[in-house]
Amino acid sequence: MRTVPRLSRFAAEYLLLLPFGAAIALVWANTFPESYFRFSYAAALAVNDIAMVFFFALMTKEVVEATAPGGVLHPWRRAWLPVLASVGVTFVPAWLHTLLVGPLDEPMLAQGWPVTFAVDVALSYFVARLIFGARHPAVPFVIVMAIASDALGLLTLAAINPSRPLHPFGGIVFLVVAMALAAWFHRSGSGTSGRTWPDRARSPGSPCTGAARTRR
Amino acid sequence: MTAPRRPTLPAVGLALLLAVAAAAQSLPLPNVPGSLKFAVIGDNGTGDSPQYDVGQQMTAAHKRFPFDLVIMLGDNMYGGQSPADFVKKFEQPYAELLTAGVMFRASLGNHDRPQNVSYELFNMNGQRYYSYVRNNVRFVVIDSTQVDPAQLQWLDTILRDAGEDWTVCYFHHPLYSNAARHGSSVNLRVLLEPLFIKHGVDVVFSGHDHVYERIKPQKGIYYFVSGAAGQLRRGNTRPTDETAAYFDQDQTFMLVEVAGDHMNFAAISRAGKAVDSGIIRRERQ
Repeated sequence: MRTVPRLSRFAAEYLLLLPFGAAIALVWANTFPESYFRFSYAAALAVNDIAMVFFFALMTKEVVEATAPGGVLHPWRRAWLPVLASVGVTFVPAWLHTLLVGPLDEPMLAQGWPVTFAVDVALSYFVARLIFGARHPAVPFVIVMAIASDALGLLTLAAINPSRPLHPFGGIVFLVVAMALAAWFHRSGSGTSGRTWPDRARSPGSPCTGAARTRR
Repeated sequence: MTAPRRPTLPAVGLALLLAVAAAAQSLPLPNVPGSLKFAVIGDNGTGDSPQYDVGQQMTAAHKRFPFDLVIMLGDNMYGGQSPADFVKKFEQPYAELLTAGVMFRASLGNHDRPQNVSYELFNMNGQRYYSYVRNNVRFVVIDSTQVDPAQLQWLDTILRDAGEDWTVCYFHHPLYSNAARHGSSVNLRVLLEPLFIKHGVDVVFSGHDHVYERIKPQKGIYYFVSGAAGQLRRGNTRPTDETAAYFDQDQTFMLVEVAGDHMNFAAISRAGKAVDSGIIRRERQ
């Protein structure tokens, strides 16, 4: 009777749902494509816009822990390393993309070069954990690098190929508020209260708390 | 009194040849005055001799079947797309048609540069997707390479407001195809077909697979794959129950005539032979 919980713990530890889900999707898309695409389009909002929020909360928790005092990406100088590495991560595929669309005679794809910036964070997380183990410093490094690459891709897409009118004012306000919050957390952490900013992040009511609980 | 001369073997051969040639050149279309006549080409822009051969057949057909419109199903240009390429891969193969005032109206394929929407002779007026009316037919041109929410919204509106007798959509990627190379674009079908059904689209033309295939009506809509006006994938079709007719042994283009509630069509090979033909009767009122 204890086999099922043990199996589920094993699956959770090794993130087996990801390859399992990918395998199902692959088989489904190649056997019953119409129902697959109908389902995937219908589930797009739930998956892309809702479930991904929770996934990114989990990723945020990893990043917060890694950049906290004592974390493998602390201080900021270290945290910048994967961010800078992401420039290479984005530049090389984009360069290859623009190089290959000509010989492959796919000019319509030329405008899609910012898409090459995208790094699958979930897959990167899964592979990094598989290779290095769950607690290895390379895991948060890979996550930050992947997130930074995606952010660069989003910024590039927004700048050169916006699908809707841009709202730079709203975006800047959002960014400033986020940075102010981060600075406030950081200052709190450097005070004498003994509560570091990751502690505050973990406090009740913090957005990170829910994500932390999901992991436990 | 002399005995009647028996025809010699060369004479019989010549007569047979002429008969075959005459049969090959006759078009199985009513050719009614005042009807809408148009030609269909897809995946044509190679600049190679087969494209020129098809262009010659189109010119020959135009003399007997005076169409004034050619719809292009994408991949209008392969490889280089410089001004010289436009001459070699478009203006020269169809020079006589262009001189005769035939209008070409293009859709974009995956081998076309997005900037080609501004090429004057494609008559796209800078739009990736657009619509126009000829006689009693509403033509809706879709950019199937990049189907975004904005285009779907536009498509929904334009199809809803179409008040003409016939609605014909054309774009590059086929919703139904039984060619081995690409086959049906099912991801696209899931997006477009509900709109086609909802608004009563009659006929859909696509290319992408370099063969000719006529699909049996799917949910009341007629689908054609005509992507061999320059390119060809010989023997690439894997006919299924969906296939009504196909031809993949030579380059092809199509001729279509719409008169009242009837649409006649014919697929013509590079040799000028009609390899498929038929009639579609408009069912919706």
